Amino acid sequence: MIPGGKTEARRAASGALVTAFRSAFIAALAAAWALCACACAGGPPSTRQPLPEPPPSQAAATSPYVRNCIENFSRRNLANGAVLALMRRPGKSAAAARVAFARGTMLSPRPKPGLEAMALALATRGARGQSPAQMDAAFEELGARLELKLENYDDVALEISCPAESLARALELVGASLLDPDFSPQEFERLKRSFLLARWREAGDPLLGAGVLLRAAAYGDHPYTMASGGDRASIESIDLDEVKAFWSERVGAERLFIAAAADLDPDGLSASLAAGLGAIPRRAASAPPAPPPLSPRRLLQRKDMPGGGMTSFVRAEFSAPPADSDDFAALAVGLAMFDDLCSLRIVDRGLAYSSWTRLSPAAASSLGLAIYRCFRPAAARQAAMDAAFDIASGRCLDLAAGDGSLGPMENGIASYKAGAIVSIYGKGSSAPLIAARVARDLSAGGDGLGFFRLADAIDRVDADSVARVTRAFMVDGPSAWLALGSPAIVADFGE
Amino acid sequence: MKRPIRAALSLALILAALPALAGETALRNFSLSNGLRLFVYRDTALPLARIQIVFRAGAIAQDRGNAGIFHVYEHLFYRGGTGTASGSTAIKAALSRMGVRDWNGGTSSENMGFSFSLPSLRLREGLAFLADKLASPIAADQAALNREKQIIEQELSGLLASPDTIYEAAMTRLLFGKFPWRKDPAGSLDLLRSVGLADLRALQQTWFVPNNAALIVSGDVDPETVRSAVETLFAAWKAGADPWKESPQPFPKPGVTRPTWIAMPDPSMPEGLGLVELRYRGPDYAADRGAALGAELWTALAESPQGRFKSSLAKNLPKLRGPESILLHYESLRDGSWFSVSAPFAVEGRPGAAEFAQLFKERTRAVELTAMKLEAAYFSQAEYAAAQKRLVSRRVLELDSANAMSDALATAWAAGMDDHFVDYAAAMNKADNAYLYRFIDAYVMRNLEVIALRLNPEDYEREKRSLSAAGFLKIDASNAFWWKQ
Repeated sequence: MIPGGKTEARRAASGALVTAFRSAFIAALAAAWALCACACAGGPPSTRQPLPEPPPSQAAATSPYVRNCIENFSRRNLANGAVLALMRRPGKSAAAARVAFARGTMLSPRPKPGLEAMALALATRGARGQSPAQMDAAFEELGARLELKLENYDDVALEISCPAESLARALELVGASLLDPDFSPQEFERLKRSFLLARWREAGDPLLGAGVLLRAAAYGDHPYTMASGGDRASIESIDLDEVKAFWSERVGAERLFIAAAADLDPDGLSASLAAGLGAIPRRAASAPPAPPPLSPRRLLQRKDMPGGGMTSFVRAEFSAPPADSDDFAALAVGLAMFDDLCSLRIVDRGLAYSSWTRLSPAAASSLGLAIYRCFRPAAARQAAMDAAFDIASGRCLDLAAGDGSLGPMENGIASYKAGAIVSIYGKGSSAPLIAARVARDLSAGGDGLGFFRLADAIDRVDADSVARVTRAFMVDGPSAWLALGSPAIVADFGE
Repeated sequence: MKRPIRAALSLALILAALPALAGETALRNFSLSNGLRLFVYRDTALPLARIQIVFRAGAIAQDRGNAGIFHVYEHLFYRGGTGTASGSTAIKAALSRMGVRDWNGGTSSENMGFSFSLPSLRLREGLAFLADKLASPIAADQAALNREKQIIEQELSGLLASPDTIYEAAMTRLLFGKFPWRKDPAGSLDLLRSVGLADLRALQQTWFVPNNAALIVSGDVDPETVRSAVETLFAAWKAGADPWKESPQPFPKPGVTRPTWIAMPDPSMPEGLGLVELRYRGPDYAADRGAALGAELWTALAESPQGRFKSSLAKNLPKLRGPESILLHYESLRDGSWFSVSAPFAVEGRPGAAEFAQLFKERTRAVELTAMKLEAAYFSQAEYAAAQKRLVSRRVLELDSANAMSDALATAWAAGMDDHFVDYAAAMNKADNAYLYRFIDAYVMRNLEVIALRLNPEDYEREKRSLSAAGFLKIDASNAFWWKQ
């Protein structure tokens, strides 16, 4: 793939609080699939609770990797009920932490998406006794970076990345700020400009745009259709009084998770948080309820995109099993097979530049498909549906033959299980990624280890379960499709 | 590579971090008898391995007549061959058999390469696969080439219509106008259509030889086991003549003969918001190490929104969208580096876009950048220390995973900055105002820039008379690309 001018002329993201960057968003979409989340309908009921008690650490683990993760994982409640989870990284000098408030999108008033994100961002921009400049200088002194993260629907979060020896102090600084934020008008205006700029940059991404349109059409009023970073209209309408009110009324320790990845002692880290993050008051008796499952409306839509050229952007949404179920792991393996078939039948046949799937392990899990720069969207969709049907019928590519023919799934499942592992874990093991995965699982109602245990669940998958779940969720289950492109290209794609 | 070319990282920094990582991570490097450079980076955090091969090739090795050829080769790499797996379908099956996902290739202006991840238990198979691909001639089938050219043509058609691509093409044509094909990995549709099998075979024999390559194996791997395997498996890949025996003529500085004003109607811009950018030919590390370090230091010094540079610009140019929206960028390359200052601004109201661009240039270059050089106290000692610390910390964080280490190594090796690896941390810790002044003196004071505007087409129409009167050249797809001239 040509990086083109973008790769070498990529503009650096400005400031610490601008979220997605237009030119990087496609890469982020294609990369971080384990970090997106929605839930299924029709599968077994979720076993997740809004705020689970610290789990026993003797969860059965079969692989050395998962055993190692469990051994290095600790979790405890701070005095105010906030959860601190730490994945130790012995010998590693880099560290990261996510300070996440779960289920925020369920608390933002419907017409004001982005309110919680703005409130959290503003709460780090000055506090009693510390101006924004002093806070920035303190972070610089630590070699630390603080960013707002709005990557999933289950939380809004701050991410700290820094050398390991700086993490405790960085968390203290954040805690002090969140305890007594300034909410100055000048910082509010600056932040608002920053949010608007970020939304503007996202607006230039047609693949992202297609996803937003589809989710709105497919899921109606589900909380996950509200962008946690807001949209231009909502951001422009939010005023400082609303931010202050939201903060004082809705942001509390009952839904605060601190997920850290560092070579640190958990007791020491916990103690260092007592006066800051551990002192944030509870605002409600309990955390907000888990979101309802996601089940897309059956849709087949096209949307015109002026200036779309000769390509389109196709998105699809399917329901998915709960992220902590074995069916979720089976579907992950099925998707490895599906991606291979799509690569041959869509990409190699010149129907599109690329395609990929996203299986999201959030509180309300879901499955998405993206077909990027698609030249024949109707044909590409058919090819994808045929691929799903083949897998649901117990067949996948005959890897031994290597000629594109299909064979019994039993013959290829070992390779595809390995492939699913590589796909899910191959993004790496940096501190920010680990912290994000722990936080993600906590916010979704897990114990923090869900992502890591997935490796063992994949190992247990068999061909029958892959075929069954693929049929249930990709063939027989509801799906929503949308093609966004120039009228000539999308003319034969649905309504 | 998908990642942009970055300034070289410090091997010393890596090595300095290694005692803390003892038993879990280690970096080794070897030179094999066929000239192949092998890096092995051990990181046992995951039971995975990543294999990455990188070549000193890409647009930098192109001439006027073959721009885009390396991109074509990249496409064919995974789709053809005469080894044990040939043809796209067979190759993909072979990769999937090993559990490979996320196999990838990339062509940029200074390197190209291929990578994939797989379970570490299957590493030897992966190395064997790659060795076989590299030692085998590229696809011998004209039909396969024709098919691939169709796919690339579709890819290019979309790319060449993108506003970002048009904008960057214009910048390349202006700032690097002497050899613009050396900055253009994509090339043109006409050039694509003219590429033949003989051209690709010749390309392979010239550039894709082990003595022009580095193999980076990272993850849960044992360096000695990897070295032994690579020595055996890659033995059939024969060295060739050194394709870099003669260095290409460097890009000149300045890149333009006078300050050049351009404006582009850009449908991706929202109405009412414009982008202004000052872009300069920048210091290449190999040619001007001091200035290159100065440029890197400059980005760290000036990037703080609360710092003097950004806050002064924002205060004196109220149409800017706040100091945090101002971006500094330095792209450090082997040949063809550049740097810029850019920012979004409100189009509405006075001054108009043309006058605003002039004010932006004046304020940025004549006031702030000049003051950086003339006023010793522009940045305090504390700011210098903070900038150095920021750069060093950033490196630690950037190299936190095996994948990141592998990508950074690949980029730095291809840019020919091996020696810089060792010196980087020490060099940055010594980098002070002398480096900064050297950079500003040579690359701002004694340089000329392109000043660019990107405006929504509606805004452009309203402003076009004043833009024309001020000497702005209108940029669009008809004149942005060097191969259309």
